[in-house]
This record gives sequence, C-alpha cells and structure tokens, in this order.
Amino acid sequence: MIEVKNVGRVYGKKENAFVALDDISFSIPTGATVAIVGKSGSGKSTLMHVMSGLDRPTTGSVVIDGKELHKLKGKDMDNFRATGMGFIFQSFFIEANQTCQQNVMLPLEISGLPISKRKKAVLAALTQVELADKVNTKAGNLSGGQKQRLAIARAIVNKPQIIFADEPTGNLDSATGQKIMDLLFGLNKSLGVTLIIVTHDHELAARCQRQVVMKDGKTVTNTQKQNSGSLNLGKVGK
Amino acid sequence: MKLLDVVRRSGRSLRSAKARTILTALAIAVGGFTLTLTLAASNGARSYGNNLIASNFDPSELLVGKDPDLFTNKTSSKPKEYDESITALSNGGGANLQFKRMSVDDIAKLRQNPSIEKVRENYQVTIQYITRQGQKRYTASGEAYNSAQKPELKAGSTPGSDDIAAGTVLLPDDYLGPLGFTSAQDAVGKSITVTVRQPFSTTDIQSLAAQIASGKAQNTQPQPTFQTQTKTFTVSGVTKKPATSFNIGARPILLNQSDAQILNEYTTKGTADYQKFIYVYARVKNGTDPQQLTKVQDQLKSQGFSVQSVKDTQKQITQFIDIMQSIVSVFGVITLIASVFGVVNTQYISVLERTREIGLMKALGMRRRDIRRLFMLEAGWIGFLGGAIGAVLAVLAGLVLNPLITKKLDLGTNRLLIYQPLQIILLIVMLIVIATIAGLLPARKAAKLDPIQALRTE
Ligand SMILES: Nc1ncnc2c1ncn2[C@@H]1O[C@H](COP(=O)(O)OP(=O)(O)OP(=O)(O)O)[C@@H](O)[C@H]1O
Ligand SMILES: [Mg+2]
Repeated sequence: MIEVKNVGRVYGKKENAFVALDDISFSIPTGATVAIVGKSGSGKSTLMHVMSGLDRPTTGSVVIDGKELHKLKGKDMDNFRATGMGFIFQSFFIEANQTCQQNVMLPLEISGLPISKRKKAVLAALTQVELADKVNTKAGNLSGGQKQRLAIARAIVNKPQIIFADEPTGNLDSATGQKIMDLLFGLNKSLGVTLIIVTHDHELAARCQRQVVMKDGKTVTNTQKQNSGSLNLGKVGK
Repeated sequence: MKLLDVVRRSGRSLRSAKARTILTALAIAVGGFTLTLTLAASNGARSYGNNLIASNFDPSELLVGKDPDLFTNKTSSKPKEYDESITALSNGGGANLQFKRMSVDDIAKLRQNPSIEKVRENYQVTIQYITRQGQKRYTASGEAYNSAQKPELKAGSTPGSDDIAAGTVLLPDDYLGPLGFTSAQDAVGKSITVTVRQPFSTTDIQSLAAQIASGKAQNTQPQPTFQTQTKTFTVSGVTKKPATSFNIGARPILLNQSDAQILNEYTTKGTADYQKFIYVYARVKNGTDPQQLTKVQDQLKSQGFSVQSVKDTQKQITQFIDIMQSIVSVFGVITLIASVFGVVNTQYISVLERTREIGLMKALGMRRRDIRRLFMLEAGWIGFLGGAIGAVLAVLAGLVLNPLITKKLDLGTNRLLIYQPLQIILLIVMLIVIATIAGLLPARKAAKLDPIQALRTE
C-alpha cells in the first residue's frame, strides 16, 4: 500500500519558487496498476520521484506499507531504492560506454548479490526484454528503443515489488511497446508487483486499474477503472 | 556493495579516461621516480661505505689516540695545554691542527691491558726512492701491512697469518712498468731496493761543530750530505687498485710490521715524530662481541684515551649519507605535494563529468560510503600507477646508469644504485595512501550529490 498524503514539492526559493506538486493525496493498494497522465510539465515525473524516494517532498508524506518513506534512515532508504522498487527513467540513464550486461549488473552489485548468481539474473532480465543477444554490446550502440528496453531490464533485474515506469513505451514502436507492456503487466499478474506508469498512451492508461490525471501539479481526477469513462484522456498528452 | 565490485568499477572508469589518468599518474611518477632513485643511491652509498669499512678495518680493533678532539667532528679552537707529544698537521686551508700523540709509554700501558690482544702501531715510512737493478729511481711511500685491509692481489699470495714475512713487500701494480717488470707474475720473487734517509746529517753537524771550534765557520757553507740506508726486499705480491680504499694518490708499498718500524724509526730518529703516534690499533680480545668492545672502549676512555670503534666510523659515514638522503628526499616530497593537487583536481573533474553516473548509482540505492570508496579507490589507483611508473623508470635508469657510474668512479663490483624490492613496495603503498587521501574531498562531494539533481544535469 502506497499512501501519498498532501504531498507538495516546491522548486527554488522566494521569487523563483515554483510549485511542481500541490497538495496531492491518493493511495495505491499493493499489486495495483496505476497510470499517471497529464500534460508535459504537469509534474508527473516529479511525483514519481517523490513517491519512489529519489526526491523529497517539500510538504506532506509518502507512506509505504505503513512506513513513512522519507523518514527512513540512509541505509534503509538505500535498501528500498536498491531492492524495494525499480525505476524506469524517462530518459533511460544508461551508461553508454558500458555493455548491456554491465548496465544491468549494476543493481545486482549494489544489492550485493553473490557474483556467481549475477550473470544468470542479468541474462534472465535481458531475455525478458528481448535483448539477450546484446549482452556484450556497448549500450551506447543500441537503438533508442533498445536503450529503453535495457533500462527496463535494469529496473526489473532485482525483482522489486514496486515498479515506477516514466513513459516506458515512449520510444518504442507499437508492437514492441505492446510487448513491454505485456511484460510489465505480466509481472503485476504473476508476482503481484505494484505498477505505476506515466504514459501518454490512452490505451495503456486504460489497461491500468487506476488513473491519476495531473494538471499544473494538482490531481484533476483520480479514477478507478470501473468508471474510466469519466476520464477525458483526449485532453492530455503532448 | 562488495569491495571487489567497487575496485573493479573504479578500474573500469579509470580505463575509460586513460589520458587523464596517465597524465595525473605521471605527476606522481616524478615524485616516485625521485624517491626511488634517492633510496637506491642511499642504499648504494651505505653499502659502499660498509664495504669500505669492512675491507679496511678489523671490527674487533679500536683506534686509540691521546687527543680528546681526535675522533670528534669538531676541533676546538681553544689553545691546548702544551705537551711534548703535540704535533701539527696542516690541513689544506693552511690551518694547523694540533694533536696530542701516543707515546711509547701509552702504548705499553695498552699492551698491559689484559683485554687487549694486540697493539699495532700505524707505521708510515717516508721513502726516498725505490728501484732495482738497471732501472731508474722512483718516489714511493711505505706502510705497515694491515691484515684488516686485505689488499687484492694481481699476483703472489696473501699471508695466512696476520702479517707478511719480514723482508718481503707487496708492490702496487703501478710500479710494474716503471721498474721494468713484464707482468705482475714476473715481479713476484724478484727483489727491489728501498732507500730511506736520516732526518739530520750527523757528519755535517760534527764537522760544523769542528769548524766553529776552529773559528772558520763564517765563510764555510756546509754541504748537507744526509746519511741514507738501502734495504733489499723481495716482492711477495702485487696489489691491485682496490675499489674500496681510503687512499687517494699513489698507493703505498706494504711492509712487514717490524720492517716498517725499523725504516720509520730510521727516518724519524731525533725528530719530534720519533715513536709518537696520532693513533694506534688495539685489537680487543673477543672484540667481535659488541658488548665486550664497548666495555673496553669505555675502560680506555676512562684512562684518558680517545677511542673510536669501527662502528663509530661507520656511524659517521652513515650519518653523512642520511643527511644527503634527506636533502634529496625533500625534492621528491615537494613534487609529491604538487602531484597531490593534481590528484585532487583530476578527481574533482571526474566527479563533475560523472555527475549523472553518480546520480544513477544513488538512485539505484548505492550507499554513500560505497560512492566515497569508489572515488577514493580511483585516486588510489592513480597513486599506484604513478608509483609503479616511477619505480619502473627508476629501476630502468639504474640498469643504464649503474654500469656507467661504476666505471666512471672505479667502484669495482660496487653499485651506486641498489634497489630493495621491499622499499619500493613500501614507497608505492605510501603513494597509494597519499593519493587516496587526496581523493577524499572529491569523493565526499560525489557521495553528497542528490540523485535527482545529479540525473537532471546534462
Ligand atoms: N529542479 C527543478 N527546478 C525547477 N523547476 C523544476 C525542476 N524540476 C522540475 N521542474 C519543473 O517542474 C515541473 C514538472 O516537471 P516534471 O518533470 O515533473 O514534468 P512532467 O510532467 O514529467 O513532464 P513531461 O511529460 O514533459 O515529462 C516543470 O514545469 C519543470 O520545469
Ligand atoms: Mg516527465
């Protein structure tokens, strides 16, 4: 269970202050799938960062399974980042001069998985995103979509219970995008992984049990799938 | 994160910035090179000094003199109370060094000491000339054979006992050609003559006295005709120029102790130098035991002698080398300090360049401590690289320089540059530690970065 309670995030100070998130509250049950939609600059990424513990809220709190995320000690916060959640960044953030294997192995190194088990785990993750043949290819030489998939492999390699995906299909053709979404929803189904996805894709948003629509740092609507008809997805997107 | 992973990761990122890594390492290498060479040269100098002592002194012998200033580094400029034994040695600057000397009585006192096995006077002989039949006359000097000096021979044999046989000499090889020998082997067994001169012509003094008595002294210019004595010696061996020797200039002919005494006394009789010694060698019973040696040394000191052991001499030499070493080391350390700033600078740039990478690592849950370690290790690697490059270059320099220096300075089998693996390893470890410490500030900066802010930097 992820509870977002009155979260605010202000960038800058005084005259330059910019309110990126304004008093946002909602909760996500464990194992749910949530789509966050909204115009560019509406604060989707900011919200994801705050929810995942990569950034701090200026006000309010995020409570995960009863524990206030931003009150965790350094070590526990690092543990949460390393094994509790996987984050697929909007702009991949893969290390271009390292091979695919090295990129996917980084979270395993950080979580301290025994060396003997690493290669297998890396290969499994790369296979899931259909990059098994690129194990030793430099990440910089991959196509945009392949980089996206590599970033996904890195996010799922530690088998986290929560996956934050910031536009995971933005760079993929619809067929590959479909496969990736099938993969993520598959993890949700089989392992009960909580999925939080930022997307501009109506179809994808519609597949999620819940949609959070953002506008200028506020949630406009917060709907369950059952009455998703009230969502006007046509208004959002780039 | 496992330490091994951090080590590997640091190695990987250094490899991805090769030029920068190597350039920074080279700055350290300069210091490493200087320090390795300095250490090697000091090792060499120390070893040379020890060889010098070992091949010139018997460690169980003490140098015993009378003058309190004799074995101190400073000479007191205060006037000394006069004593008949005092002699003046003039140094190069023309100043006189006045020394109290050992008399026959003093030597007798030493000989009576039960702890002293043997007293050896240090006889020097002023020779007029040496020659042999059918050859020209040549200048020479003579000295009593000293078994501790173990001269290297070109031909002939060293005596098994403490001294060479009476009536024989060891001839320096410099005289072979001049005296008409075809080879060193040729000289062995042949005889040479040594001519010495009395300090005063007694006949002149007598005739002068007679002239004065007869009142004709004013117009007479007495012709000094000095009495000389010529002795024949058999060459029992030919000495080579030793690599480790205190002698500069012509090497002396080595004589049997009593021959040397006879010749010395002949040339000094009637002068103030007769039977006076600045110092003599006293061999201590069981003197190889340092405790015994010190005991006797202290005992002799309390009797008013000034005493120096081989160890003391060695200490003086070592002290000198130590001072030289520290002076040169200072330069090495200065270059090291300069290179430390290089490491700090390089690491700051590295942190800046890799801000996104650091952000990613933090976002993936890497501990601050591990990030700090990562950057410190990178700095440590640079230190290792610099140390290794410097040491390798220094060893290579030694390979090239050693034969040249040995030849130029005529050091025989001695090497000026001696490399000790342990020293080099310690030096490299030290450089690693210094570089790692230099990497501390940049590493802390990296560890403190905020993941999202770091990821957002382009
Ligand atoms: N560090 C920052 N300093 C100042 N303003 C910031 C900072 N980070 C984000 N913002 C602002 O916060 C707002 C929300 O940014 P955010 O990245 O969350 O948008 P987004 O909804 O993810 O947009 P997109 O769909 O384009 O990714 C933007 O107006 C952005 O300019
Ligand atoms: Mg965004």
